Amino acid sequence: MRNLLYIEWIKYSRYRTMNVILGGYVLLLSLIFVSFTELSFGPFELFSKEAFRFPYVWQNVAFLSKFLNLYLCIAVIFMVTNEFSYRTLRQQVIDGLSRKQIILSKSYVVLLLSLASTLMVFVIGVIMGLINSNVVSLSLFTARLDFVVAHFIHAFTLMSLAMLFSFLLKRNGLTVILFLTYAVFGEAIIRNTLPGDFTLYFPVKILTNLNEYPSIEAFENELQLGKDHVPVLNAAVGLGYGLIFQWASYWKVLKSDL
Amino acid sequence: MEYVLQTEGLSKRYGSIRAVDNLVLQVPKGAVFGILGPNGSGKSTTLGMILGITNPDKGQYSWFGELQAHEARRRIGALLEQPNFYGYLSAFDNLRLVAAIKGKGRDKIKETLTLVGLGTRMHSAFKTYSTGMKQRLALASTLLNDPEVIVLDEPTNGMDPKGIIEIRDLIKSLGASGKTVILASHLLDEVEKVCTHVAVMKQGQLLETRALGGQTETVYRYLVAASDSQGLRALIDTTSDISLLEAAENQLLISTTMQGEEVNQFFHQKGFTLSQLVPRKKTLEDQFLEITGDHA
Repeated sequence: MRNLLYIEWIKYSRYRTMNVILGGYVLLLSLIFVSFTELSFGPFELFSKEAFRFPYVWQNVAFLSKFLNLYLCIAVIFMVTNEFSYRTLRQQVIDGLSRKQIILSKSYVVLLLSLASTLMVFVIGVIMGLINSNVVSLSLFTARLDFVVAHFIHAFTLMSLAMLFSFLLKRNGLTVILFLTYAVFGEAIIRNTLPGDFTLYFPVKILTNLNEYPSIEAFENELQLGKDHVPVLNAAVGLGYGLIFQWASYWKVLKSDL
Repeated sequence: MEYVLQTEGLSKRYGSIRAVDNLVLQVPKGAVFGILGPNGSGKSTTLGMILGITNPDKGQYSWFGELQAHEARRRIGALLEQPNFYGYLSAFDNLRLVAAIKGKGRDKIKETLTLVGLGTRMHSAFKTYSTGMKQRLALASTLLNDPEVIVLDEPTNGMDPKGIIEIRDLIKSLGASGKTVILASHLLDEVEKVCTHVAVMKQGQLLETRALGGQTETVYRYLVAASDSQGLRALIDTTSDISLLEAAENQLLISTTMQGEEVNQFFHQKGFTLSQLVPRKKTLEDQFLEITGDHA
């Protein structure tokens, strides 16, 4: 595992596109929360100081952060399609990697990015919570902490889907366009044309419902849109999807000529 | 005999085309093994399969006996078609990657790059290199881990004459140092000049494998001429040990098991004074054409 990650490190530590995308992610994620502590405008008036108190802070930080996971997905798409445009997957198999190791090295990076992003959400949550809460106790801190885990599942599974798209389509522009189309509104259109409740089990829908609405219970008008906990079914199925996408990528690479 | 590579019934189809059909190969350790065949005969597909990038439909192969395929490949240096490297990485970083995969050669990167003449440019990005420099980096990458087996696909394709000579000398010296070289080529001349063994392929099938040079050639060829051309021809037609291959102008191309002196003596005894007796080595091209059946 260490050697595979070292190989990926050599490849991407000097890849400008990757650095720009990941740097942009960190910057944007930080900026969102800087802006919410300072400003309150438009529809985002919902997010008053109240929304960033423990324990609601986890849910709301995770909700705002999940949209930026698309950014990470684009990084993953470039990471994989790059290998096809430089024909380097082929070269690395010739040099002595097995197809399993080829996939594992990408899986590790996806896992690492998911963990790093989750850690960021956690740290931002701690900071925002401490700034905005009047009372801090262990029970307030740990209640709704499961929404941070939900962020991990959201990031991991969405990136795994991006990875599968990349291995299937191979070209970066095409993959970015088709993936974003599917993830942002394509699946929703498909779901709307189909009857029945099973559309709730489509991957993007499952992930969306992990943390469907921000929690505004803390508001005086007592609208109760936010759920108390991450739906267990969505967490399990969402993670399952991630593993299936990983496995499907492996299957594709195993069966095709490079 | 010890074999570094053995294949059994290796087959690959692309649609209705049998790119490689039931290929059985045995490459002895230390051989410079040429895979010879016209374009589209399945050479590259064969190399693709034994290097793990093309999945065979049927059959199997094994390197160094029983070793896992990808682990075996770390002991091989392969150079196929154009060089594949990350354009934005320097030669040095690209080789750092190769060394990490091979688990060997990390301490030899500078040395190897200097050896192929990229010493002064090793920290420039690969995309800034000329075609020749890219090829030299590919060569450096192939030799980086001091491989036991070197696999080359049309190594002199697109090279200038100087480069061709360098590559051929390199192959010979690799062979002389006891390394096994597997070389695919459509150039008969190339295979004949550097190889100790040749496997001839046509339309995906192996036609023949043989060792080159040495005493394998027991049939000799001569170009003969005499003033009485008609009589000479009649004699040849009635002699069982001599066969006529070609008749052009007054010259006749014959093949026989007799050595030069014996031929001269034979015709002299029959009353013909030869005005010409030129030994003609049977070239690989003749052998190749004979084997592939494209020759009259």
